[in-house]
Amino acid sequence: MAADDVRPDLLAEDAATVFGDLFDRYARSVHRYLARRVGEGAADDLLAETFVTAWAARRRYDPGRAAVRVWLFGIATNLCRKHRRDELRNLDLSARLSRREVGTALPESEAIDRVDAAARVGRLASALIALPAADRDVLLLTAWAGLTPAEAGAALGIPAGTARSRLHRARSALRTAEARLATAPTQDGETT
Amino acid sequence: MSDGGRHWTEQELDDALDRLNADVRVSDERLGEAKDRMLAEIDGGGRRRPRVVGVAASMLVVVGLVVALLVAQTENPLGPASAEAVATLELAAIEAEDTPVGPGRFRYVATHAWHLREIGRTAYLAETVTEVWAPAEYEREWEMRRSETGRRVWVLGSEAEALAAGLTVNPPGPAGLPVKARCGDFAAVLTGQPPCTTPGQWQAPTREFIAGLPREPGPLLDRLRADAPDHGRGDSQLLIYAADALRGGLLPADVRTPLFRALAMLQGLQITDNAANLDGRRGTAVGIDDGRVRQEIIIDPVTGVFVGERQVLTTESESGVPAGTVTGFTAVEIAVVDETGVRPN
Repeated sequence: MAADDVRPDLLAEDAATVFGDLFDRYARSVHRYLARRVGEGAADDLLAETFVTAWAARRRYDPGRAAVRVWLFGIATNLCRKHRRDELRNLDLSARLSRREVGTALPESEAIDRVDAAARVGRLASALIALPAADRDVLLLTAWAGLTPAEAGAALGIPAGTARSRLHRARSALRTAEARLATAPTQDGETT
Repeated sequence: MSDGGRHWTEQELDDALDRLNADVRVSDERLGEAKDRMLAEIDGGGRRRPRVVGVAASMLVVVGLVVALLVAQTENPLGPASAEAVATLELAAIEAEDTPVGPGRFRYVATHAWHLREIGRTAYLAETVTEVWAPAEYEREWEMRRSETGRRVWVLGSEAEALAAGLTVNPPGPAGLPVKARCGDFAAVLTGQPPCTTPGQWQAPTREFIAGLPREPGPLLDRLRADAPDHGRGDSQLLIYAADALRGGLLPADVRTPLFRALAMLQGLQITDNAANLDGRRGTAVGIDDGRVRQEIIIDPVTGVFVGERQVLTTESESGVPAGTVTGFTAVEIAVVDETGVRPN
């Protein structure tokens, strides 16, 4: 899917209509990004807050700098920071659910791939908790919001080079941290 | 677990990222509610204000202008910089001067940067030292060394707690090998581009970038405002950009003087700490609170020298780091040395 590059004038006479259109166009993808990070319940609220914040800050959107989609994901990410507790709880939950799936699976050959995948997802969730928050932001903006590293930088207000190095660091940490987590005992005492 | 004992491939990581929390849903009803909240805000809040200005302007242009000014001011409730903050910045502006770097010699800039790392439900500050040797002749070879010192200050939880929870306390840090690049273009070395080509920015000002900056406080403030992305943090973002450039240690005095005067015009600027201590370097902190974090620059109250910059939490963070916690700071040391790679005595 080609990334869209819509850059509307948010100070136009009909800005209210423009925002209605923006909502229809992007609300679903912003909600999906938020829900994957902080859970569906918190995401419902944060979605509205993202667009209310965008409206209040519309003077500050610079079409020359980034697509409006990038700007909206930046606002959504800033709001996620205030819900870090929700985010960590959500990742904990995902890690546990995956372990349960792995734990109850039968050792039949057709189930092995599915179990491997579920185990990986669970370990990823645990590893994301251990990742520095700033690195997690760049990683998830690229993985879940579909931004390029440079766009993730624009969304977060950091130079593109910084975003790229954070992404690189996050990905190497996850790929290597995984091996350690996989052999570590589970932290919540649950039998897997 | 068949792949438990080895590192993942990029593909395996992407696959896991695709699957994690992929089953989230949203109903049209929830979307509708969120849209209604946005539309209510548009109807009730921001849209009314321009309408008032419009009516006033149509009746009488002068009244319209006055109303417009009032509206502009009420949008920023913080007010102008305090007199003490302005005086501190003026001292820094007056005293700004550069020790000359003779031919063949180097300006040495060491920055001790402490950054917050939040991992799980713990958080600590870790120190990174970056040293740059900038030759008097700009297009000659520069040198940079960066290393993590391993010094850590826990601000939430403890190392024992983090290790017990299986968290990665010490993610792999950048190597301490020297990087050499003409024009100080270290980015080009890393990206494989020809040297002296990476465009300058506030975070890495090149000679051309510096030459293009206005030397008057007003226009320089306009430039800062145009360059700094606005994330609803008010003028704090401008102070962050100025601090980025200042802590690099390579802005010449004829830019620092108007820059300090430009900062004196920022909304919400206050003296926030008369005795800020950056790991032993002390000074007066001048800062702006954006409601969550206070961004500060630290000025030596006697010599007017820029000592460094700092961030302090002003409300408890969602992860539980208490208000008042320092979440990052950089102390800067500048000297002139005879040889590259050699530290001042």
